[in-house]
Amino acid sequence: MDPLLVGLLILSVLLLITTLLPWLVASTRKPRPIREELISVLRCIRCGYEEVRKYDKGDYVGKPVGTCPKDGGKVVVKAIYVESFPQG
Amino acid sequence: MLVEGGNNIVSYLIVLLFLASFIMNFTDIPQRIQLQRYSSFVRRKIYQLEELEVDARRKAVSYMSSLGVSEPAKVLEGFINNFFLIRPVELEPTDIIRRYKHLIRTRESSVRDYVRAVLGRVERSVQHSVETVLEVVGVIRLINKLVRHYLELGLKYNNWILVMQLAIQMPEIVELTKAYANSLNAFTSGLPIGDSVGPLVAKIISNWGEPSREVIEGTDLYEVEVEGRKVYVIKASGPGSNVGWPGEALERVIEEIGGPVDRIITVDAALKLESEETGDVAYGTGAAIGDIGPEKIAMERVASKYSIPLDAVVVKMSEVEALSPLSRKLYEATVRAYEEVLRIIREKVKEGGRVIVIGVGNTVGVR
Repeated sequence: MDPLLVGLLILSVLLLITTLLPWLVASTRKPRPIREELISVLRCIRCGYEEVRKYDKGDYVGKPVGTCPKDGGKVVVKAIYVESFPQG
Repeated sequence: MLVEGGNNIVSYLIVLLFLASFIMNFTDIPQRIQLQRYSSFVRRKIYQLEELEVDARRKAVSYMSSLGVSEPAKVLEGFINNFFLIRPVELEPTDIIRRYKHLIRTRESSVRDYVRAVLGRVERSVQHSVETVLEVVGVIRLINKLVRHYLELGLKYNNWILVMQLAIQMPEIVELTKAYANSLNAFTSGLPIGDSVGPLVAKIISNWGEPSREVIEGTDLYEVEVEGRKVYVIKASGPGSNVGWPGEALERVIEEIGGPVDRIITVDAALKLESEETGDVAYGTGAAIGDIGPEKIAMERVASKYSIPLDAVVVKMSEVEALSPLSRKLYEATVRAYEEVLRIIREKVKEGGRVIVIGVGNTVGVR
């Protein structure tokens, strides 16, 4: 076979691979699924005792949610945030 | 024979190469092909945007239904294409801030009246959240309309550069629209978002107490003592979606006190550069507020009138994070921002002094 022809064929194949490679790599890389959970941070405004629990519907920051188990002070929702857990 | 055949193929290939090179260099065919490729990419992304819009509309309608609004779809339609704001003439800068302020307040009160008319008597936080939900769906609709406009304009005039630019920007546009669509979950459920870091810090400083009063509509004032310093805390009234009028509130508080304030500290979320980390806390000088102008200038004017140092503490995040429910990383940054504010108070305000802390941002989910 003519070496020029072989060269041209190899060049075409290389061009094809370089064109398709990024697409192939991107399609095989799938992001890991993430599980999200809403968390409420509770805090005693007298002694600073903190506790973390799952978010309850109707929670908002500053909402009074009971009394402190340590000193009986007022406990409020200090913050609400999303915690992400990677799966698999 | 074989050698001759091989030479023929080579000659054909060389001719083909020359032909291809001619087409590539001296005709518009490659650009036309690119125009088709890019426009089909944009169309695929438009389908995604449309799905997001349909989903956002569905959420808004279901939220308003749950509040007892009759014909919520009609309410949504009545809002979406109306309530635009025409910017004031900027060529003549005299009194531009007053004109801006007037137009912004007029629009806000029109939106408020519209929502009040359909909602009837409800808690103010609910009223604020409905307004925000309508605004968010309006923004998603506007993004969709703009993307379609530029695509159709590009195709109409064969402007492949315009379509290519649009295609390149599409992933970013889709990401932003997704963030707006996701923010509806936070606004309808009353969850703090990334932009709520300012009000969160303000709430921590006020030790989760009740506001002493409402300075102006939708903006509260807390008065607390921190390590022997009198601290006035200003934030929007929550827990509904509301940003309040922090600039005007600051002006009023300082005028009421009569001026002697040692320091003003503003806390807000700031857009991060791609090279920066989410949750980075930084401090500097100036008014940390992402406002068109009236609120920011009110802060700067009153601070310079009484020569009060104006500090800014910001928490870095992306636009998507600012609109999404608060992440753990941003919660931890909020605590660090609070510590930074405390440090400034301790180091720069003498005992017995007065300081004003303003928690700038959307107070959704923060009372």
